[in-house]
Amino acid sequence: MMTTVRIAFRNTRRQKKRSFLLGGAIAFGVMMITLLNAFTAGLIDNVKLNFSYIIGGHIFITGSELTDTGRVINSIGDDDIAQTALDEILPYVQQVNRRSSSMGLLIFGAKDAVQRLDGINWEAEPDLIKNLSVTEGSLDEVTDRQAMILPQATANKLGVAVGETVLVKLSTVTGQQNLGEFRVIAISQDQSGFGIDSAFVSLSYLNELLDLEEDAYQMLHVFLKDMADMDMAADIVYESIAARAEVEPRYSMGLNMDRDEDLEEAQMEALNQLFGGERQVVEPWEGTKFAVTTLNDVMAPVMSLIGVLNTIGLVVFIILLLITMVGIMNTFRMVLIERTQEIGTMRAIGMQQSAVRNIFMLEALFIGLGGACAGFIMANIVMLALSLIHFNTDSALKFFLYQNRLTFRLVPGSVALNLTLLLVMTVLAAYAPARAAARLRPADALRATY
Amino acid sequence: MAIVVLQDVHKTYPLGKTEVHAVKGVSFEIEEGDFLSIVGPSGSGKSTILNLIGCIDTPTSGTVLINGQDTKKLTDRQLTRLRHEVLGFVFQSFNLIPVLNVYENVEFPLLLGDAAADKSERREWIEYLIESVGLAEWRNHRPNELSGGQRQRVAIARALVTKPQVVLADEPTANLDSKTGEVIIELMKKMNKELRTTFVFSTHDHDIMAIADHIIRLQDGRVIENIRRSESAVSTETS
Repeated sequence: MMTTVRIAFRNTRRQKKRSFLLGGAIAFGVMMITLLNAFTAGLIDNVKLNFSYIIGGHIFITGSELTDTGRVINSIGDDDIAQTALDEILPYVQQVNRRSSSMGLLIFGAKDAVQRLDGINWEAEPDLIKNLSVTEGSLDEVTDRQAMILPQATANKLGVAVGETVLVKLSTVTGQQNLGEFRVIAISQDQSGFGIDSAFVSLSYLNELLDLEEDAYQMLHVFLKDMADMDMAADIVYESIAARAEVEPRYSMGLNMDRDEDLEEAQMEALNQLFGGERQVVEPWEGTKFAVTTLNDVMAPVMSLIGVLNTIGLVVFIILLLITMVGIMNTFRMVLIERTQEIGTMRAIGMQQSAVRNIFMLEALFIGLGGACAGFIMANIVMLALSLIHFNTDSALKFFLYQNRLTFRLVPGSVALNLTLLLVMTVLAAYAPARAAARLRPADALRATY
Repeated sequence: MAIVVLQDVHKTYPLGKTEVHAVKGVSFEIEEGDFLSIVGPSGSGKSTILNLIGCIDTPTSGTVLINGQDTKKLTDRQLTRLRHEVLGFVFQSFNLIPVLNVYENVEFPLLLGDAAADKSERREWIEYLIESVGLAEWRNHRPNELSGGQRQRVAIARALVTKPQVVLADEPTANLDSKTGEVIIELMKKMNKELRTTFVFSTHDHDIMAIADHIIRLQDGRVIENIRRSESAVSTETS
């Protein structure tokens, strides 16, 4: 077998230009598909990371309760149920935040701006204080009941400065209009880079404005140590809550395009709880009805788009491979003609048909491997070069970047799949000429004069 | 004892819409240790007979027995094994594997067999053969770095490496100048004597056929003379 391998390997170097061109075509295909896969994987990571900054976590547990008048309010009344569920995923959890939130209209003088308000228990979230990047003012008075940390973009829009007071108009959980007054103690730098940061206020004051109990909260934001555990951890939490309380059906978005209508409704319900949209009571319930949402669920449309991008990439790769296969097949037919006498010699000396066939197929395999390695290295060089480019943009493009740079992540499974596909197709392309070579009658092959 | 027996062998080739009758009822025997020359003009059937003896072609009719085995009854796999174990080949245009060096070319047939010979024993044997054909200094060179005579010597060493009972050489000196040709034939004779290997070679060079101790003369696909020489006697058959 080693002789077969040795001859096949050395044969690849006999016609260097031809092998180079074939390997080059393969390398180009591998480079493109590797780049595309790594780009989309990096894109997903960046979008998830940026999204998690905006909405403050990876898993979200929300609750809704039915009032005596039949209205639905967003609140988690039974803390023990959620806490028991969280205890079950404790090893994966980095941090749990209890927040209330609302969209409000901020009014300063003649100007106004719609802004999301997040009510924070500052004593429970010291990390947020550490991570907040303040451009003006300070966080010394953050525990002040009416303190507000306003994002730079909104402050600019309102023309408000540190120390000044803004009015906030919002709806209570029961739908009443309410007014509050906040003093801007600091202006925060764009945390997520998208200009859609939350304004941070005191949880107890926001609860008061929302007509909730002072120590109540509407959402549990769970930050995990590793985002990859998101769906698994969410499933555990869901099962735990479902065993003890009413819960909205859990839907797994991913790239599943065949969702049924019930799950679509459940999805809308959960997202409405998360972002405060219109609520509908389908069937009445008692106590708190929970919903478990993950960042993946929220991001499903983006993921679908990226999935489509990956599919298109794979189709293009397969087309490239098919063209390369035709090239390989033709090349090996030529090789067969060139080496007919040599095949005759080897057969005369005592080489079996299978060994002759293997020489051809191994030669194709080596060219495929060489092309694949070269393509992989080229892809890495291009990735490195592209990741060094700093994009000065304030547009939505930032959503796909990390610190204003493109990032690429190689997914071992995708790389392995593409390489396997490539090598199998390369060897298959060489199979017909290899078989023809093996079946040559030694006497005919030795007589060949071309 | 006859190692090769041909009995009323015919071979026809299709050539376009017609057929060429290359061998017409040839019968002869080759004894173990023979140094046999098949002679005749171009188109007389020399190469066809060598191909039939070498099991790289099968007769249209008649029987070719190698070591008592009828080659017509063997499968491709069995024929390949027979070629590997019993026969060695030396070709007119050397036919070395271009990507292998001298040592590797000589070693090549050994690596095709099932038997796993002792590595150091194998190396010693290859080195001995390379030295015997006078190419010790060229052992790491590839065929394209050798002269025609050197290439043919590599081919002889390669043919002998599996210790075959019969070495078939199809006009081994045709592509060489007369002096180199003589050296090659002398080398074959030396190996014939030293290793008791049977040599069968085709030629139309009268000087070379003079060295042979068994001559088969062909004309138009038929044996016209079968001469066996020995130190004491010469037997001649004509047909």
